[in-house]
Amino acid sequence: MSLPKLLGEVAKNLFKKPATLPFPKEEIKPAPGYRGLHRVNGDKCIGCSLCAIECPTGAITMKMRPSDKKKRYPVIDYGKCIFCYRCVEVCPVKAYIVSEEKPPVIRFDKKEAFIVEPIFKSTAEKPAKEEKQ
Amino acid sequence: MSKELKVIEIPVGPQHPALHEPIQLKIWVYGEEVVDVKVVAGFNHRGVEWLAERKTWFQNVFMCSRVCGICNTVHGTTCSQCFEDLGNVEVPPRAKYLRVLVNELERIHSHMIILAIMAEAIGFDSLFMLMMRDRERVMYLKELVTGNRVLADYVTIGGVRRDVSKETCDKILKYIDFIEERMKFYKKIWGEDPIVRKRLVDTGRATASQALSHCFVGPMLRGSGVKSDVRRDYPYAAYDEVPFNVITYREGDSWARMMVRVDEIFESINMVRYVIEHLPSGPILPKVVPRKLPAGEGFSKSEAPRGELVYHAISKGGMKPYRLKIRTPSFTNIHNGAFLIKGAHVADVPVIFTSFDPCIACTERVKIIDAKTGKVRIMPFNKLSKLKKL
Repeated sequence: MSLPKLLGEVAKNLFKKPATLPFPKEEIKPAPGYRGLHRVNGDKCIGCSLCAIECPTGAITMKMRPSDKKKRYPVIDYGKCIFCYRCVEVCPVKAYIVSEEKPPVIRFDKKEAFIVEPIFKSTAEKPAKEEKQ
Repeated sequence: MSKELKVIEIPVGPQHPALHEPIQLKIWVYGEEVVDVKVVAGFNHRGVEWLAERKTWFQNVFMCSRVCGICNTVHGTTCSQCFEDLGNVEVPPRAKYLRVLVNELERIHSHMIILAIMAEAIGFDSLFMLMMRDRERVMYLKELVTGNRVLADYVTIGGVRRDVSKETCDKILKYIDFIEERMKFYKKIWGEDPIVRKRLVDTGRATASQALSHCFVGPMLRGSGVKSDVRRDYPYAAYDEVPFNVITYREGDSWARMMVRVDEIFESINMVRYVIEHLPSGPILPKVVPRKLPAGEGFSKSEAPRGELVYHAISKGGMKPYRLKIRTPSFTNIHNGAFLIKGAHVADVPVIFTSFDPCIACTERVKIIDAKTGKVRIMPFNKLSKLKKL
């Protein structure tokens, strides 16, 4: 019986760096164009509710604005979000801000912390809640 | 010390029956030999078809991608094609080529993961580790093209959701060369290594006539020497323009099935190269995609990594489908292929079962039809488990 063909490859790997990374210290960089955390620019949003209608998981709900009772704005629940970016695609005014940031790890005992409001620049609206990680 | 041998029932699974997915194989053994086998499914039922009737056409494409984790793009592609058939939507040529590109990238990583899992099932852990390490390059390519590592959500009704740039194409060509080189090395191991051959050759042999009469699909059918491929027989997307060979092996055992997968990876690599070199220019989506589809029926077939995948949608007009039927390749392969386990040794059960490339998440969708009254009931799984008799 001949020697297993993999033996040379395994011996070579003894002198190489490990292929995995020590996770909390180092992270794998996502590829450019990765679908990461997205937020809503509250000032641009016109409250058309198209994102809430189109969302496949129902992660987006529309809330009434405190300043203008006729207008609405979207609130995203990252616990339900699947990061398909359908909302980014359908938005007629491109109010969504996209990033390559990794989504937070969802804790089921703190579900409310992951329901995130839009970013507002004007002071008339409610300030956006910062999410806890 | 002479004791009479009895037939003993052994449950394999539902926790980790060779694969990390829940399915149970009840096997009856007489000594070392398996005399009977029964497949018990239903541990992973999520009611996808029921849910599909309550979601809009566009939402359904995203949800159908989640029927299976590994072969998600092909589910999305077939679902979109089915709805395009229903609504007579024309797909631009560039989108068709990009669909082929992502589907072939998916086929490479899907075949690599089952080859790795097979190596683990036969106790060849170093091969498992090395193949999984190299598979990560393919996952990176998929992330680069589609925007996500596993659940791509790349295909939509009418075309694809993202275009590829020239730098992306260069990167794909560079990485694909690396993968081809590595796969040549792995092909030598799968074809010649004494450990692999001793374990796989002659286990779970199915002749061509058995494979046809038991409705095998995909690599299981091609491993028994039957030349059948949906990409060649009923071309969809741009498969009628991309040249490729249909791989067949005559042996019909577990080894032949795995070698079909190894050789298909090389075919897929060549197809990816061809697609990138011949990528037509133009838009990736038609100008108008209807949100409401007309009444009628839509049908679509495709070649998933595991075999033939079928989608059938019935519409009564409006925003939602009236009925969506999904037939996955693993469903036929697992249930009809169980006869191969009969007569094998107990130690060969995981090897034969892994050679089916089973995808449990694909198989689990239930609609109960009462045979006496003809009533159709659809129920959640917790109610289903409480039923005493079906």
